[in-house]
Amino acid sequence: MTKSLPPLHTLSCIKPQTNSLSLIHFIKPKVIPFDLIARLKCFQCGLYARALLCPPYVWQTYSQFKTYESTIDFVSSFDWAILLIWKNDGTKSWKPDPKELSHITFKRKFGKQLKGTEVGMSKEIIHLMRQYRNNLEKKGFECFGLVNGHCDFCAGKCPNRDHPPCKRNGMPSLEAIGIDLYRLLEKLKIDYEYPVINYLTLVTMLLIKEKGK
Amino acid sequence: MNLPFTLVKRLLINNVSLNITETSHCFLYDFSGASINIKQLKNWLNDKIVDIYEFTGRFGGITKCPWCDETSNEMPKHIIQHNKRYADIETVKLSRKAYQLLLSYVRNNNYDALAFYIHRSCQYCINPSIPGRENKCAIPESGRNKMRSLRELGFKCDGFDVSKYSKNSVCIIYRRRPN
Ligand SMILES: [Zn+2]
Ligand SMILES: [Zn+2]
Repeated sequence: MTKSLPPLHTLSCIKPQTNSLSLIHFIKPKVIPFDLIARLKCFQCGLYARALLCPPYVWQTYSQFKTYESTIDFVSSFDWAILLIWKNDGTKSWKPDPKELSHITFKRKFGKQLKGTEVGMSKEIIHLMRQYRNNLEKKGFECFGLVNGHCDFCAGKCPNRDHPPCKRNGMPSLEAIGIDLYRLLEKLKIDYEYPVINYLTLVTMLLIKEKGK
Repeated sequence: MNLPFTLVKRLLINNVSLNITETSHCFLYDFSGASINIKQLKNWLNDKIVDIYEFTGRFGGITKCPWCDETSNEMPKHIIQHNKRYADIETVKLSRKAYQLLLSYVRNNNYDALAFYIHRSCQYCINPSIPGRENKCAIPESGRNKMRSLRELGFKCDGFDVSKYSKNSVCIIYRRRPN
């Protein structure tokens, strides 16, 4: 039996240390929409057939994502998906401890200028996601993390790049497993801009269930 | 923004069939490698809209080689070493221009829009291919708009006659299904 109430006590595992984490949503995994467009667009990216946790190599680490059917089976084996929405218009520090960047005056950025913010945020987000996952596991949850963009645990120096699988519990992106992210945001009435003009919206996800279920 | 394209036909895709034959040179057609089966692809295409455009602009000159980034004033000669012809430069340029067209759809709530050539085919691959990059894009850093060709996909649907469009025609396939 899946629990019908979201496990709010998990929120203590996801402290919004960073002020760009704007929103946390609990959703049932069956709400998550999948669409072929996510995979078709993967082809267009320079990381296709290059990054270890992007298609098609990701299947050597996580074979559950190889087909739509197996992906949906895997995702729906969890009780809840915790959706984390990170927004930034350039004015928010992306460091978990904002004091670290207190010497910088953050200015509003627009359009392409936000690319730099995205890179900085993504680097921190992946570490926070790993921390959240560890915290949840300590609390007795089985947990699978998905990130924005692509996995960067190893900061561009992925030691297994030429020798899959990934041996460090890396996280693929939502799109890499075929999630139609924009549709999901629309279903949940979460604002986003694509292409980006005034603010950036990055999305990560933690799939959770009680251990041993 | 004035885009160098003229819309010549809008069709609702019905009864789509695909017949992918020339798959050897370009990773874009290796659907099984991306764990996509053709039935899924056909389902995805059916009920979408295809807007067909003729290119009405000019290609202009080029000084930087799309295949090796070298600059040269004699590009037609330079590209022979990559087994490319001048028409292939036009194809690359057409895809860059079509990217602007694609963006105009994406900016209008069609984030699932994709651009295709009607006749031409992707030229980002270095013919035949680079060792170690077989069945992958030979230039992974190349433009985001690696376009597939309806001709190479063997694309057919009701009301679509490939012979009606010139070699510089492109199309955008789009339409969101309701939430
Ligand atoms: Zn190609
Ligand atoms: Zn060259």
